[in-house]
Amino acid sequence: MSSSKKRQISRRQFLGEAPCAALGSTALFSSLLSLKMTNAAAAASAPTISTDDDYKALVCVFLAGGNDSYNMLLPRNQEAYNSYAANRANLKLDLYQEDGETYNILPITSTGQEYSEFGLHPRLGEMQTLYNDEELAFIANVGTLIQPTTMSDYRARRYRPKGLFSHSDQQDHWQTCLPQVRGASPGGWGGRASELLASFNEGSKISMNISVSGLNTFQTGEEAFAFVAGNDGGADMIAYQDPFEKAAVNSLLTENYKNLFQKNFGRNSARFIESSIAFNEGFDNATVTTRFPNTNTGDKFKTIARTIAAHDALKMRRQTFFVRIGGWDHHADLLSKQNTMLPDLSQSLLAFSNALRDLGLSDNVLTFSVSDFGRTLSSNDAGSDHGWGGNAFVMGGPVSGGKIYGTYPDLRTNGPLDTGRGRQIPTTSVDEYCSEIARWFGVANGDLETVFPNIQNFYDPYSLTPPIGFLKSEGSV
Amino acid sequence: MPTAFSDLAFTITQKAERRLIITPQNMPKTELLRRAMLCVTLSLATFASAAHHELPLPTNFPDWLADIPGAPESDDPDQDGATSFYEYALGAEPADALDASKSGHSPYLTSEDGSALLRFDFDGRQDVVYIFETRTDLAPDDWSVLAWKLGPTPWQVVTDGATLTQDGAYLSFNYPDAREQLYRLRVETHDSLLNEAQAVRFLRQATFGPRREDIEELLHHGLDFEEWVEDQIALPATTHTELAKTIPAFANYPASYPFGGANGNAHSKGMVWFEAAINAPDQLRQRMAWALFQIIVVGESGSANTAYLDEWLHYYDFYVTHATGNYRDLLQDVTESPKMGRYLTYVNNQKANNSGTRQPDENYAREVMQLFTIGLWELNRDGTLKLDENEQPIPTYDNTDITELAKVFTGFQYAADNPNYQDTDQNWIDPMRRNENRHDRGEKTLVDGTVLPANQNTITDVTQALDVLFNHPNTAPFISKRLIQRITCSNPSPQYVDRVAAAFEDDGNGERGNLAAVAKAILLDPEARSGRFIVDPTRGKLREPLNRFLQYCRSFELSTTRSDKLLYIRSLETYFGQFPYRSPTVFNFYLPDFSPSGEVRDENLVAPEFQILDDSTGIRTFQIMESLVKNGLAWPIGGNGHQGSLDFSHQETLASDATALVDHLNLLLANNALNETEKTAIITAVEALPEGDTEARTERALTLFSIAPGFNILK
Repeated sequence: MSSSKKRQISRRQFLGEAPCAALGSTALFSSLLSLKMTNAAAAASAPTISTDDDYKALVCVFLAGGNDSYNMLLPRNQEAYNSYAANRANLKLDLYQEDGETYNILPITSTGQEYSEFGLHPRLGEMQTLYNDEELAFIANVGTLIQPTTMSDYRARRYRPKGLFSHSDQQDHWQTCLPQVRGASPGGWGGRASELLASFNEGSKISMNISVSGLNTFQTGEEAFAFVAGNDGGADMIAYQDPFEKAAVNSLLTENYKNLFQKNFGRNSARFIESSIAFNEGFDNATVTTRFPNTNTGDKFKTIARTIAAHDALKMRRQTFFVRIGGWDHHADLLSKQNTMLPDLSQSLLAFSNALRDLGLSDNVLTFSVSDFGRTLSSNDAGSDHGWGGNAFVMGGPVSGGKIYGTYPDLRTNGPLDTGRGRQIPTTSVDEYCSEIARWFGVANGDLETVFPNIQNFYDPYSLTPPIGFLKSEGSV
Repeated sequence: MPTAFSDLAFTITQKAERRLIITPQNMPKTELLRRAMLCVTLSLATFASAAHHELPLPTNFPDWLADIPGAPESDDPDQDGATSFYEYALGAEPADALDASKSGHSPYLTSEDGSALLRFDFDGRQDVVYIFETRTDLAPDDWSVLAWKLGPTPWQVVTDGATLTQDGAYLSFNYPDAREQLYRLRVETHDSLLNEAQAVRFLRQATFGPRREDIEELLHHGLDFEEWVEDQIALPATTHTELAKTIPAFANYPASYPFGGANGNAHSKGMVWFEAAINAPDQLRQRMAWALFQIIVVGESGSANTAYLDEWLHYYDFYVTHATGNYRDLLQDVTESPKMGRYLTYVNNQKANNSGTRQPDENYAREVMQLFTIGLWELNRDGTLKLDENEQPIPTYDNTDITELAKVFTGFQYAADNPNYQDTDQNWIDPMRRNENRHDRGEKTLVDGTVLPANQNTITDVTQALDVLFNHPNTAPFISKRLIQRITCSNPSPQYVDRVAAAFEDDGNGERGNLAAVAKAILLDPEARSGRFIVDPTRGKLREPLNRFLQYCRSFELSTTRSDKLLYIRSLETYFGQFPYRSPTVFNFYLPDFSPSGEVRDENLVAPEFQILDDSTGIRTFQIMESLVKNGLAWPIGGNGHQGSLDFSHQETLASDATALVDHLNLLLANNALNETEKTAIITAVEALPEGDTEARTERALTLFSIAPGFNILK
């Protein structure tokens, strides 16, 4: 079995062959990556100076199912609100409370949009606070794109992401940043970034990518994988307590199996054991005293905070985290479910922000949201259906907060970006959104194309200004 | 393992001169060809061990041998260096020395323009597997399979490191790298595993795990798998609704429940599921039902009434009763069920209002196509993607098809309340009633262009739409491949998918969607039954954590120690990454195209179950298995609340002899998949315990087996 024989192809060929790549894009991608790594001298993103305070972490908050984000962030400007309300019909959030004077939605303002008055869902008080404290920003109408796409492109079926509007495909595309390729096989941009930045974590025994929600595409690279932690850290291998059993386990798992599944299972399992032991050496001694909501979401954010607290002990100067919060596919019960789920998210985010402040690491951690897609603006009576562009948030010290970036769309029925039922063509690409994050994390401009193969369709990777500008620092050059 | 005859191999170098170089040097061409023929080696070890156990030889080979006058006393009566078996395999005569120049049926190897060329123009014997292998140096026993075929079937390429072209009798392998390669053609009896291990392998696929008596019965019936499948299909269905009534805990079912008050609790239905998986005689049907439940998913998350037993069992019984029935009936029943209606949110779905501010819910329209019938991309019957003139995959539907189909699923509402159901306020059992005033009465154009005329009622529209999806050419390969992945292997060849899809299309009696015929096609396929899996490193699958757990429960006859006779198994989803009724979304626990980092992905293969194999679940599954072995069923997990026991009495009689114990478990748990190294590792650890401590020895062996890749991977 020869996995080493990988065809070398140019980026142009790679993209041109995308449909075929659906069957074998990993090998193609890997050649792309190794080509890039070679060209970039494999060191452009690597650290040149080792300093203790050069610690950075990314936290990917995955709202699985497709958050209805036009009820998370909505217009408060009366005219724009009226368009919103007419289109959303029975899904609309009231602008005012019953007294007709007090806002029901939580008022925020932003520069840079057509109007300045916006509102948040009434249950997002903590996020409102974070926004007003300029620790949180929104990116409006962001979504999966191959290249900038107009209504006439859409109607002509040009540049459509593969499997548009389907959960599995759109989830993959938010993570792979290759919407012209089906499936997860190209791996995720976090995984790719972690491979370029591996030398930051020299001496660390666990993956740069840590998930509190199982395996995921975002943290999977050509070789990179996620370390999956439970809320109590790594799992203990009971059979390791006896030296004879330990020897047998090691022998069983490291035998050079011919069968690929046996080989993969054995090697993975051996790695799980080794990683968990190494992880616990740091994690067990780390403490977070900040209070978190007593919910699954709160627990997971607390685990992330504790792992961040352990970064020195784990010899990690770069960490990515992945937390999946499920249940956002609100075809039904949209209003009631967002009423319970959004405050859980909002409270957990605030607690996480507080914990980072307590750890003195507010400026070192960037949290960003991802979701399958925005949803239809029009109602199916009980909820909304799958859409395309939606609103995302970024949080943390690095964020130039208190502002909505991108272009908040005109939400009126049959508006200029409406492909039907209020499914908005995104005006900011996932590539622009995530490449700005990647630049902050340390991916050099020269490596951006490796991590985001379509980036040139949106942004000159060698530009000195960031793609969107929602961060204080302009990132790498 | 097959014996490698290194001195019979050839070195082909593709360096400067690109010509065949022979080892040893200066060998005459006739000798070269003769040696090429002798590259054909019998898997002596397998063959000898089969003879030792006096197991039946391949049905054709003995007859062939018996027909030879003065049946040979030795393996090689003509003393040409080729045993009778490979002479048979090559279509030669045992009493007539092999001679490449003599007839067209002898294989030979040459090199040509940097390719290795195998000429082999004998069609192949039905009971022989032909394996073309290579290795890159003279280190023994490190052969990689390039291609194989069963009898007269076409060659199947294994490696993507070489390109293989077949032109008549010629197989040409092209290597881009200039390096030395050795090649050989090896033959094995197709039925070389025709023994207990083959029975175990079959039962690991077809059931939730073999019991010793199951193996004996299969052997008693001469390993007649077809008969076994037919017997299973003929068994009455063990419905979970009826099964629950036989469990004392549910004696007054549905009137009262053992815990959590009158409504039972969310774990009750799972315990019934385990009772069926472990003890129901219609194992194949339960296995198929579970596979189908992972295709047409309904989970607690997103559902109501997680604690109400009756409605969940009633719903799951659709899968049980149709598992060996018809897929179309399953589609109809789940579509009309209020459980699905709620889960995919089309109960109370209604037509658009006049202003258009309210549109039909698209959820079911999308998922019934994407996940339950046709999938996203047009497929050939063998499951491969159809491509358009620009080599692009072809979407099966676009969003207009979704909005059209969404109109079909309007008008459903909950049926009238029933005071005899656990939920007396909402009917979660009877088919949803139809409110025609809320149904979209307009014309609807479906995915294949079929137009449902205006003014049809709900059930007519729904039935006709499901007919269209069921009869769509994609549905047979789409569903067939997913079922194969759940039952036998992650990466079936297109030919395998095609054979199963053909059975889906027509069971032989003109019926489409007959799942009994599909199950039979999956299990009896040469690709599932042939011993070739030994040599093909790309075959097999990671078994679901549940199936690994269940194999211990079944093979060692788990019995409850509770007075209410419940199999108290619950809350293992954070350990396994899966659990009955606990799928996180309609996309199941893992996606069918998931591919883990490493060699599986490097070879462009998939391994869905690896999606739930991570640092946490991987180790925690080992923890649960160890706990099961050492403590039996315990609740809380890791605690001492004893709930059930496994029976290791037979194993303990063997345990003073560690080798005997390990050999026995290797057969029972892993159809002898553990190699000598793995066995030695376990034997060594077992022997570290006192010979007389048979209980500890057995527990240690079973703990280590649960970790061994040979157990966890089903080949």
